[in-house]
Parts: sequence; structure tokens; C-alpha cells
Amino acid sequence: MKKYIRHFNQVILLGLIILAAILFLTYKQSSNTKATSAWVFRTQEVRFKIEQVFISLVDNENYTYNFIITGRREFIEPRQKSRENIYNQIDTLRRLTIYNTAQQSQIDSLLFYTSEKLQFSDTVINVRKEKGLQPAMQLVSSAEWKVYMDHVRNIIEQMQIEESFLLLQRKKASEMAGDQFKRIVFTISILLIVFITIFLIRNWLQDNKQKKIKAKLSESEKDFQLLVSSVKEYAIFLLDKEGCVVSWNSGAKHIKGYTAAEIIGKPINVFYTSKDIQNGEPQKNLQMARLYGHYETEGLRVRKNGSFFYANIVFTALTDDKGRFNGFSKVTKDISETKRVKDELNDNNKKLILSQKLIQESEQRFRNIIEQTINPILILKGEDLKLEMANEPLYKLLNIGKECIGKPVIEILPEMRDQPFQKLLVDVVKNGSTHYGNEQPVSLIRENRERETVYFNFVYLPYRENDNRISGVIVQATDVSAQVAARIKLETIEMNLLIANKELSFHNDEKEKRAVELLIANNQLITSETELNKLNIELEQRVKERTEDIATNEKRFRAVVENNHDIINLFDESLRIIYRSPSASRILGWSNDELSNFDIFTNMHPDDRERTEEVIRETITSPGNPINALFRWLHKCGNYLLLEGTITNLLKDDNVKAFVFNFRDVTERMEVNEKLLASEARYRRLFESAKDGILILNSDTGIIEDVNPYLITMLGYSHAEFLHKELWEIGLFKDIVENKSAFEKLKKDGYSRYDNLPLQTKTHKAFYVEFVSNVYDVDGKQVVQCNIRDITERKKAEQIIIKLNTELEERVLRRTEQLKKTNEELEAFSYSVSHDLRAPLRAIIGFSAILEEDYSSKLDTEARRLTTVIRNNTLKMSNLIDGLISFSRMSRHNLKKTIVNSNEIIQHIIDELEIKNEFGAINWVIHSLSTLKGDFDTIRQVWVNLISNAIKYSRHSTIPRIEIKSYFQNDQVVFLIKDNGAGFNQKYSDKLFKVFQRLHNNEEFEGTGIGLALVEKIVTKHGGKVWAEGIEGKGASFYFSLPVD
Amino acid sequence: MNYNSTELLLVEDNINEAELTIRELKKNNMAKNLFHVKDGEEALEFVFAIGKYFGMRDVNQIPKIILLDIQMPKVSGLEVLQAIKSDARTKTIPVVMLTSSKEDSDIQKSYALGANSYIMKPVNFEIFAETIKNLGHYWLLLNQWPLKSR
Repeated sequence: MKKYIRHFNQVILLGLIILAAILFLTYKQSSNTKATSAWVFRTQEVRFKIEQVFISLVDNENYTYNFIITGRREFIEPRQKSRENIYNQIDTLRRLTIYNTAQQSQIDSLLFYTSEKLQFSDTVINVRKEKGLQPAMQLVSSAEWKVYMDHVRNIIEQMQIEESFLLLQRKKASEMAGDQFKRIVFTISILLIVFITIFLIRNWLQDNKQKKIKAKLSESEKDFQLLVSSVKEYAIFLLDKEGCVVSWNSGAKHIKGYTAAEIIGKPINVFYTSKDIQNGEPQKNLQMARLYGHYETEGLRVRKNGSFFYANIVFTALTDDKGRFNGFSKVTKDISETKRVKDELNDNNKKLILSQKLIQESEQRFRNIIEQTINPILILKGEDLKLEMANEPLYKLLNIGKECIGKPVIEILPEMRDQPFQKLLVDVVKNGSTHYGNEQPVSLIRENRERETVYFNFVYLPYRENDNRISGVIVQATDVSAQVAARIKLETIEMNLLIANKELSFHNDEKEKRAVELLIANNQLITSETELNKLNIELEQRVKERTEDIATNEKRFRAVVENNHDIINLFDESLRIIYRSPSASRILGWSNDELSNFDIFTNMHPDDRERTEEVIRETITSPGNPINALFRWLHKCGNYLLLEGTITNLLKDDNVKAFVFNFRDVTERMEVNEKLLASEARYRRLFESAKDGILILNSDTGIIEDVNPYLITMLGYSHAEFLHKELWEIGLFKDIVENKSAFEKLKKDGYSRYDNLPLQTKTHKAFYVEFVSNVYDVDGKQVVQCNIRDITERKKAEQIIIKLNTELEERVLRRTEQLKKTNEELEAFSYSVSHDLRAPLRAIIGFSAILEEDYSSKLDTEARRLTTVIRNNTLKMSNLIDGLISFSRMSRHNLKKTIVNSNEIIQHIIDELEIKNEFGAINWVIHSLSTLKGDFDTIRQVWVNLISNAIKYSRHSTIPRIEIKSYFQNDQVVFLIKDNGAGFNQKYSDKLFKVFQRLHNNEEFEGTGIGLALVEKIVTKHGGKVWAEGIEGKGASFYFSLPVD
Repeated sequence: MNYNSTELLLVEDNINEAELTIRELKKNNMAKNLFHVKDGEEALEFVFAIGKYFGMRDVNQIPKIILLDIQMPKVSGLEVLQAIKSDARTKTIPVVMLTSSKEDSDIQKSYALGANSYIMKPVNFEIFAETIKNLGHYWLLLNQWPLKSR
């Protein structure tokens, strides 16, 4: 039922649609019913009219009878009238039955017979008028009279039956339509009743529900009111629009002290302090609540007895059912206690902060100490190694700021990710081990955005908490770039030496200068070390001062100092050791105990003792000032270390009371310097003894910085004339470096080369040089080195070669021209031979033939033989000419070499010859032949000639046998064709391949003596050879060989 | 002489050669409408009805076949061929090169210029006679020839 109600709206819609449909049907049905009743009425009218026609006809007949019998005129007129009536009625009938074709045709017949009948009765009337009663009566009693009337009666009867039938049908239809209409009306009524019922049920259900809700609502309201009134912790009451109290609960009474009777109707101002009232606080609160619907505030409020309490108040604007504003609810809670607790907490916090501040201050002191050292120091803490602390030098080094504090080190130095560095840090934290990293390159981006590599010695120490737990890493770095740079410089120089060995150059002054620079750099390094030492001493003092105050910090500091790479030793007045840093033992090799027995000169190199004593004396005269010192000290292994550093007299300092020795092992650096000097010397020797001119330029200015002796000899200018001049200032180079742009290009490319450059000596002697310039990078400074080589001799030789070449070329051209001309002449000659010589031969043969043909009866046997001789000789001459032409053409033929398959060619030739039927049965033995590289057409000619030869000369053999094969010999492929024919005498074999040379006479074997000559020519042209072997009567073998490519 | 009825035009400078050729054609009854010109120049005058043949024949009345020698004084056979084949009125005339030349270059040029056939006159007379007979038979009797008036 509930569901049904839920779908009530849909039901109503459906109902409306059904109603509309019913209405439509009803309308349609009613019009339908109307139409059927109209049809019934019409049918009845038709029936009536049919009857009337019949009646009128009967009337007409009666009037006719009456006239015939009586002969009285008064019957004529009514008869006439009835006649008109008949026609009118038939007309009407026709109109009424216009939709019924059957009736229409009946009406046609009716009209016909009626008019026939009427005409006949007209005739009878006329007979009566003219001839009297008797003849008229005769007509009346005739069959005609009766026949017409019978027809009419018949038709009318038929029509009546038809109409009765129709009436019956239509009445039935009309009844049916009426029934349908009734049914529809009935359905409508039912549906309407259903809908009304549904509607009523729904309304009833809704009313019920609402009643229930209302009942529940009033019930919960009661509960709520009960609750509100009984709540003690909260003052809950209502205010009217103006802010006067309307209701009051027990909580309100409890908190504020008023009873309901006392307070209802009073404004809320009574709850506020006078100060708040002055500020208009109550109104403000209400306005806020009105504005936002809800407003919460806290503050001091007044009780009935005038005491104060701290309250939390919530105002809510209230509206009635229709959304109109009608007052406020106010909930107040006494939070005085909460507030007191909170305030106490705040005080505690402040104290805590204060104590933290004190701690921080002491921490800061420690930090200051660390930050004053010049070496970068950082402390990383936690699993992800967050930057806990760092000093200013570190910030500078990494080009970062204090904002990195607290960030994981990997975030600060992402390039360190997954590098050994990270692993190492993790190892320190996990295992508490200390790591040292010496001369670690660190690539840093400086403020000017250039990348710079600096080198550091690193110490990684575990950072221990008071409970000795490792919580991080202390990293201390010492900048050793200068030291490393010195070594790299040496390596660079060594490398340049290698280059110089190839290109022959370098400049010594430059090197010397650089060595000086290097020394200066070293001094600077020493100075900075001095500063460091000072700081170290200060640090140590401070550490002493603060040891007791901040024990933790001291521990950190000690770790930092003691892992310093430098040796820090303190000696008393008698120069006995009283303190040594752990590094001393590590660097010097002696154990702590051993060291403690040493005085300052123990283990010092004897040669250095005097100088060191001098330094100590100096410190005594100027206490507090660090004095530089350099001496050798015996390592436990037996070799001397070179120590460099400062000695400071702090005997007068109450905190120290000692000589402070601060030293660093510089052995390696000194070795580097020595090597440097040695390499410089090598350079110098090369430079001085080179057999090329060498010129050193400053790459920025183009000023000549040095020239070697060879160049001075080469050009004739003195050393002084070269030095300190710009390259383009010196006349002789004006052609080389016309302007600075060429020089700029050299600087850009780093290399330039002129293969053939004209120069002039001081005495204007012109000569040519090869001029090669290279730009070198030396310690970040660019130097241009030019190598100049005299190529005068080479150039002369070259010119001679060029001249010879030109002459040769001209000669070749001339010769080629001549050859071309000769060739053309030859071509013309052979052309005319082929054409012009053949024509007369044809004429000779032709006319001889005519003679034989036309005069055969007049010629005797001898005459006929003679003409035959003429013809044969002429034919032979023709053959000779053809052979000659192809032979001479061969010399002009250009070979087009391809891979040629001889087997295919041979098979083709044999097939062709077989078709011409030029030989009998031959035993062919043809082996698989090697392919060759050659001109197809001419190679084919070779095979044609050799095969025809073999066939020709073996035709007298009982079983001619021809064998063809190939084989390799040395670099040649050899082809061989062997027959068992006539053969030849080996001693004439050299004549075989000569033009027109034959070893058989024409009667025996016909031929021109050109075939084999042609073979020889072709094979020779291919770079091959021909030869033949033969035994008379036994056969011959012909060979040709071709080079294998 | 009615030049318009010429069916076979023989262009041959060597009288003996011409005699041999004409004799063989006559023998085979194919020389009825034969006309012989003595060199390339005369051949051009005849074909294009110019010079001494001016007004004597209708250029459009073309012969059935021209037998053309190559090596001739004044105007060579190849030049005659070119002239005939590049004139719209005469280019349909079948031209057979009949020559002693075996040169490949001559054969190449002839066909390039539009020759319809290239026959080398054999030195051997029996073969020559047979060749001429076949030639006449083919071009005058077998070959279908375009209608006179185009």
C-alpha cells in the first residue's frame, strides 16, 4: 500500500491518460451512433417513398380508368398531377439511394417501365378521346397494359425487400453502437470510482502519518524541554528578538544564580561586565548571531552575586516554522577551571622555552667555535642524514645557505646519490667506524656559474649522543686543492711535453714564470695554513674553557680537532712534548708512547736543526706570532718527511703555556715540485734544439712571448726584436695574420695551418714556410705556439714535378689527338674497302653468271670451267676482304667486360651450326668450363673460329671427336679445344696465328688465314695468350689463357 | 613515260649493279613499273617532283617500294632516306636499303631513320639472284600497300 502511495502521482497521470482516451472514444462512438441512426431513418424514408410511388401509380391508373369509362374531363387534371408526382417521387428516391448502386439500377428500370406505362395510358386516353370507349377498352384489356404494371409492381416489390433488409442491418448496427457507448460510459464510471477511492485512501494515510509525526514531535519536545531544564553544566535559555530572557533552565540557575522568576523578561546585559556593556558587547553578540545564525564567544561574565566567571557562550538565532526570525537560544558554559589549567600550562611552556633558550645559547657558543674554523665542518643526523649543523666555510664551499639545515644531505647534494660517499656515511652511522678520504675531487658550481673542481681531505666521524649511541656523522673537510693542483700541473706539463715531442715546442720562460707562480701559490697555502693554525689554537683554548660547561659540545669539538689532518703538538719550555694530536702519531708513524718521550729535535734531520732552532729563537722574541718553519722529520719507516707549518710561542698564555707546533706533511708536494723542475729542463732543451722555428704567443693579446734560436737564425731578427711585440706588428707576418680576426679564429678553433706561406727574412729574402699554430691550455691560461718550417726546397721540388706533369699531360693529349686521327682514317679506309671493293666483285661474278646462263649454248666445257674459276676466285677475294675487315675492326673494338659463361656460348654455336647442317656426326666431349671475365661478342668470335676450325680439320676423320675443357694454371684460366683431325707440324705452330698464314692448301681445307689471327688478336687484347699443339694426321689442340681477376 | 605509275624506284649509282638487279626483276616479271635513278640527288628530285621532274609527277602518287643504295656520290642513301621519312607526303613509302655495306653503324643509322628493311647484297650471284627475286616478290606482291590518296 505504501508503495502504491509512493507511485500515486504516476497513477494519477495514467488515470488522466486513460480518461482522455475514454473521452476520445466516447466522442467517436457518439458520432458513430448518430450516423447509424441517420442511416436507419433514411432507409425508412426510402421505403416510404417507394410506397408513395406505387400509390401514385395506382392513383394515376385509377384516374385513367375513370376517364376512359366516364370520358369526363375533370379526371384529366388529377391524372396529370399524379403523373408529375410520380416523376418527382422517383427523383427523390434516386437521390436518397444515391449510395446504393443496386437500388439505382432498379430505379432506372422503374423509371423505364413507369414512363412506358404512362405513355401507354396517354395513348389509351387519346384513343378514348378520339375513337370512343370501345377501342380504348380494348387497349386497356390488352396484355401491354398489364405487363407494364406487372413490371412496375415487381420492381417496387424488389426494392421494398432490399430496403427491408438494409433496415434490418442498420437497425442492428445502430443497436450495437448504442451498446458500445453504454459500455464505455460504464468503464469511465468504474475508473473514476477507482481513482476517487485511491485518492481518498492516500489522504487518509497521509493524515495518519502526520498525526503520528506530530505526536512524536511533541513527545520529543517534551523530553527535550525536560532535558534542557535538568541540564546543570550548561545554562540554556531562550531570548526574544530584543535579547530579553524568555526561558530559564536549572543549569542557568546553577551557573548564574538567578531563579527563573527573577530573570525572565530581563535583558542579557545583566550577565556582562560593565566594561563589556560599555563596549556594546551584548548587542554585538546578538547581531553576530543574527547575521551568521550562530555565534560562539568566550569571556568574563557576571553572576547574580556579582562574582565573575569565565564562560563559553553560544548564540543561535531561531526562526519559526515559516522561517521568520523570532529570537535566540543561548548556551553558556562555565569554563573558568579549564582556563586556569590552560594558563598554568602556558606558564610551564614559557619556562620550558626559557630553559631551551639557555640550552640553545650554550649550543650556539659551541657552534660559533666550530664556525670560526676555516675548514668546512658539518654534522649530519638521523637515518636520512639530515644536515644538523654546518659552518660558514661549508656554506661557501657548497654554495648553499642556512635554509638547508634540516634537509637530508642527499637532497642538498643530489649528485652524491648512490655514490661511495653515501655508502660511506651509512657505514659510519651503522658501525661507528671513522673514515678518511684523501684528495677527493668535488665538483662545485660557483657563483659565476662556472663549474670548478676542488680537492678535499675528508674525515667522517660517528656522532655520539650522551648515551654513546651513534646518531649521525661529523664530517670535516680540509681544502687540499692547491696541493692537488700542483700535482695536476705536473701531469699537464708532462702531457704537453709529449705533445711537444711531436710538434717540437714549448716555452721555458713561461714555465719558469709558472713555477714562480706555483711557489707563490704554495706560500699562499702556507699562509692560510698559518691562519688555520691560529684558529686551531684558539679553538683549543676555547674548548678548554668550555669543557665543563658543555661537555657534549667539547666532545664534538675534540673529535673535530683530533681528526684534523695537521699535526698539532705542544712543547714546554724545555721543548719536551706535552701534547700531541692523534694525527701526529698517524702521520709520523711513531706510537703515542714513543712520541711522548721525544723532544722537538729528536728525529729531526740534522741539516734542518740549526734553521729550526733559529725559528724557535725568533718565536721567543715575538711571542704569540706564528713563525713559518720547514724541516725534515724521520718517519718510523726510516725515510724523512718534509713538514711545513708554524711554531707559535704561547708560553705566556695561561691557558696554553707551551710552544704550539702546527705542521703538515708536505713531502709529496715537494717531490712534485722537483719533478716539475726536471720536466721544465727537458722542455727547455727541446725548445732550444728544435730544427723548426717555434714562436710562443700570449693568446689574449697576440704578443710574442718567446722565440727559439732556430727561428732567430731562420728569419734574421734578434731575440729582442721579436719579444713583446704583437704578431701583426712585425712586418714579416703581415701577410699571415692580416688582421686580428684570423687570430680570433685560431683561438676559437684551437688550431690553424698554412701549408704554403710566403715569408721574408730581415734581409728581404723571400721563402716559403709551413705555419702550424696550436692553442694550449696551461693552468687555465691559453698560450699559442706556432711551429714554422722552411719548405723552400720542398716547394722547388714540387714545382719541378708540376712542370713535368703539365708537359707530360700535353704530350699525352697530343698523342691521343694523333691516334684519334689515325683511327678515323683507318675507319674510313675499312669502310670504303668493305663497300667499294665488294661491288666490282659482285659485278664480276654476276656478269660471269649471266654469260653462263645466257650463252651456255655458245660456250664449250673449257669456257664454262674458266668462268667458274673466275667466280671462285672472286668469291675467295670477297671472303678475304670480309676477314680483313673484321680483323682490322678488332683492333678498334672496345672491350665491354662482363662475366661470360663459355658453356652456354659453345652450346649455342654448335646448335646453330647443326641447323645449317655444316658437319656430320661428331663426338662432342664438352666439360664444365670456368666462367671468364671478358667481352661477350669477341669471346664468342673466338669460340666460333676455334670450333669451326676443329670441325673443318677433323671432317676427314672416321669418327670426329672434339673435346673442350678448362683448367687453372698460376693466375690464369686456360681453355683448350682438342680435335682428332688433320693436325699440323709442330715446327710451324708459330705461323698458325699470323694473318694470311696457312698450313694447308685451299684444295685440302678452304680458308682465308684470318680466323686464328683474329683469335690471337682478341685473346691478346684481353690480356691473355694463345698457343697450339699438333701432330700431323693425329689432331690438334688449341689453347688460350686469360688472367683470373 | 608516266612517272605517276612508278611502282618500284631503284636508286643505284653503279650501272652494272643496277643492270644485275633489273635483270633479275625482269626475269621474274616484276620490272614493269620500275624506274631507275642514278644517284641520291636524282632520287630526291623524282620523289619530291622537283628539279628535272618538276611538274612531271604527282608527289602524292607514291611508289610501292624504293630500293636504296647507301654509298652514292653527292647525296648518300642515308640522306635520301632521311628526307623521305621526314616528309609527311612520302614517309609512308616503304624503303629497303640495298647495299654492299656490312657495317653495323650503317644498319643502326638506317633503322633509326625509319628504313623498312636492310638487305646486304651478297657477292655470290646465285644468292644475289635469289635475294632480289624474294625482295620483289615480297614488296610488290605480298606486302599490303597503303591507298594512293591519303
